[in-house]
Amino acid sequence: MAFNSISQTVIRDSVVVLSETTAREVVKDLVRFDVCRQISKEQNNVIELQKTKLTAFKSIIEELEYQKEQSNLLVENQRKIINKLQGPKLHLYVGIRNDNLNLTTNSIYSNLLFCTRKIDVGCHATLQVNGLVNYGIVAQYKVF
Amino acid sequence: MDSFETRILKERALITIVILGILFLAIRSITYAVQIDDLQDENIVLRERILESEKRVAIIKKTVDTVTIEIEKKVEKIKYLKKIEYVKVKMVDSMPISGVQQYFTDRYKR
Repeated sequence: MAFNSISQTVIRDSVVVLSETTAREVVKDLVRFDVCRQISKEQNNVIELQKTKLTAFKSIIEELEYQKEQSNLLVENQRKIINKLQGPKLHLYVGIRNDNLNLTTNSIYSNLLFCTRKIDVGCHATLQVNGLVNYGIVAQYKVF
Repeated sequence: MDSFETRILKERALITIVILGILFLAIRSITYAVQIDDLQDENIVLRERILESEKRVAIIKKTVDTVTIEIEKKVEKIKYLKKIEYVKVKMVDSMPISGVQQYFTDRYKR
């Protein structure tokens, strides 16, 4: 009397019999499954790439915000420079004038003014034909 | 009429005011010149920073372009796979039964 050892045990799989139509449908489904698996893999890659793109866009936004910040500082500095350049300046005017359109009453005048954007302050001196010198303070506002 | 002394005093006062004004303007313009120089130096630094940032943006944009091209390729591949799937499914209909059996045999080899 002899016994089969474990390695000699033969286990037979269950056999499933499919009709031709069903077998073809199963093959079609398996083909679809294989392709879907590949598509899924590709779509995962696309998602990863989209994430990379999103990160890049966020970086661009951060950089643009930084540029805007720096540009604002630049504009502010330029404004400060303009304001400083437009500070009070010293102007000297010399001219001739007459009274009542009378050529015999000509006089030479001179204005020394500290000019700001709207207001000028300074002194004036007038030399008349008769040799008299008048002087005084001038304050004027720029209307237009 | 003013007396001679009063006139001299007025003239001196006026000259003093003018000189003080000129001194004030001179000091102010020197201070402003220094401040303007500082501001212009700061502006140079700011412009450099903006330029560097623009360069960084250009590099990132290149990366975005590369990634976009990659995505387009992947999308094209997905479209191609869908076409392949359609063709393969159609082929199954015209496959002989021995082919179907062979398919199962190949797929589930022991």
